[in-house]
Amino acid sequence: MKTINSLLVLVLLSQAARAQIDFSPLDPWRGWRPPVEHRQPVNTQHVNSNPSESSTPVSRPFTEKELERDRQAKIKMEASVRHDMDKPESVTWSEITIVAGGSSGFGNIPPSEPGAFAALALATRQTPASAIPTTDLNRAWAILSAAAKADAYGNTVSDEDAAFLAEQAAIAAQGGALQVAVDEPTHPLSATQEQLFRGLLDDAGKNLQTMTDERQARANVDQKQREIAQALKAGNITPAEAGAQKQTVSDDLNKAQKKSAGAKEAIKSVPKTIVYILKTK
Amino acid sequence: MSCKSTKHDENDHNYTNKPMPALGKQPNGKSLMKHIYEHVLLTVFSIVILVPAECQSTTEVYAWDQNQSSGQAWSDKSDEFAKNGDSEQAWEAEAQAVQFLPDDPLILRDFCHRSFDAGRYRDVVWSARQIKDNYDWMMSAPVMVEWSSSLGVLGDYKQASQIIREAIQRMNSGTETGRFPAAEWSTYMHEWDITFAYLMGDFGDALAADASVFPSGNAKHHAVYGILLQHIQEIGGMAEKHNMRYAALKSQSYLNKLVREGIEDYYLYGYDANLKAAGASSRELTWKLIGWYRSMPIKPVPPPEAVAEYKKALYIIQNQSSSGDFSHDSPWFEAEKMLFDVTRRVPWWAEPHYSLAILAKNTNRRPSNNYYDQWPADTRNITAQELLFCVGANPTGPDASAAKKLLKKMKQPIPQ
Repeated sequence: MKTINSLLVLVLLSQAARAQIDFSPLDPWRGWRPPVEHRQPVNTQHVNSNPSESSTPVSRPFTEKELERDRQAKIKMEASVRHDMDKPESVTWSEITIVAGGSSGFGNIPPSEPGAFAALALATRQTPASAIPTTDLNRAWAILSAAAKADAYGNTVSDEDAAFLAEQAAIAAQGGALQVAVDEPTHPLSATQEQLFRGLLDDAGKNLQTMTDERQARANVDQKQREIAQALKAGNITPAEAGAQKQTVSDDLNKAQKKSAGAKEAIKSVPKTIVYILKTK
Repeated sequence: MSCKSTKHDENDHNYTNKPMPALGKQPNGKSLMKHIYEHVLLTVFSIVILVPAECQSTTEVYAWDQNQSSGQAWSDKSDEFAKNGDSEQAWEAEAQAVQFLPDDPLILRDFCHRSFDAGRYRDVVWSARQIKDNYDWMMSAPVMVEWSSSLGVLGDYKQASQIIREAIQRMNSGTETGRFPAAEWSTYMHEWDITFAYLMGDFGDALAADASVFPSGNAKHHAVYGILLQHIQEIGGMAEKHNMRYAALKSQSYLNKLVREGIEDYYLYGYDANLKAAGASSRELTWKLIGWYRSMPIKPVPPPEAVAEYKKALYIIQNQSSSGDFSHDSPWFEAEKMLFDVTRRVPWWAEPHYSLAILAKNTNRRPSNNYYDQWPADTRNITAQELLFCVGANPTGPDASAAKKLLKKMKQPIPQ
């Protein structure tokens, strides 16, 4: 059955590859509508079909017998449809409007370098990993583990899809409404895995903080340089002291940048850690 | 105090003092690492040698100077790659420049363009947002159009619409003609505005948007449909090209809706051969989207507005009378229209296909519109086709078993 499924998907995908739609040859026919006589109501009965007398169809009233037959047919039809069709209460998907992807970046951190999984770190900024309920954690895990590994057909997830799924995992960790369906009972974490996953989230949150610190250090540079220049101009410090102070600011920025580079590398390795947790029993 | 070393190591991604991962060979064969190494060396050389001796004691290479130098070197490199048409390498180099100079508006603007060319739409959104929030005085029409269409690719139509409308407003204000030249951008911006109006609403909303741009009547009807077809194919194509399956599924589902509306409601594809061709392509598109959906490791959920519409249709059928004749103002007629609409919007959602099949099977009446390549549509065909889509989209779903039984009765092949 699995082989047949795979074959079906292959057939569907090969169809997809050919399905580049180009309707431009049809342009000259746009706006065509079927002739009026083809669009008349179905129940209209032609009792006078002699075109020489009138081209307008004339209806005759239904007989009582016909109406009763129609009533019975209608009752039977309605009962049959209502019996067979899905019921409104069977539709359990959320009707809450969810803001779609395309957020303005990962916590105002320059993108790309830390990779798609930086979005996940944002979740732990709002909810510490230790405070995430196990159900939400399982949902987040189900999404992330799918994003981190190739699917059953060998497809790997693209960067943009991984970013989308990481965002969804972040929302799941905070108990929010999702744009993907997760059946968390089929992906439960073992106690060891849960501990490792909470640790991963904690680390991601700390790494995000480190990257935020770098942004702050950069923002401070201009202000501190202005202060040093003013102090020098006012004669409060000597040129040598000004140089030393500038060097201190420079060293602080260097330190923040180095730490941030390490944090970015750590976030980039999140998928590897997820695969490691997957293999852990 | 000593000057910082600028020694480079190709294996070291730390970009503070010894950065620059190799990005491959330049067109002339010189490695990028070597090029940038030379560039930075020259900068340090000019500081150390060219600065008069009496000033050297107070001249330092501070972290920000190094950032400026390295960032500019990466950005220059990105320009070279872009000129040679290598959009991926150009994006990588500009992404490095942004790491050094995240607050430089020119670098941010270039990063926005490079990201768009490389299909990194989240980075486009990020960089454009940085420019808007911090350097609005240099916001331009190309950045806003790229920002808006990137949001479109990512599926955030509401924000995309807001951005393009702001761009149109700025263009029309006449105070920023240098960065928002109407002659170049007016038509394009209005087309995107119309497209997002459709993606957030329906064809009527698209017709109502930008009423002043197109002539009224049939000509407008056709012009707007053509624009929608082109731009929705564009955003769907951009997502598909970069293997963004979730985004592509969303936008191409809207394409599915548009094409079927063109065929079935507005008769835009004519009759006979034209209807056959468009209908066949439309059915192929539906199967393509079902195939994508089936291949996804984590399945997307139906959009909330489609869920609401589906539930409303089911509620009407369960609680209101059919009026027997399905006249155009009857509740069941409205419910049938809603079911058609849901299957167009979310062709990969199995349950609405099943419900539509059941309605078609039991009512046994001829709908007044087309159905894919068929006019007039035949209820038996609608039933069979919708059952096939239902089983194809979810062979183990809640309705799959009943759908398979009906297909078997109808002597139809059963999708696996």
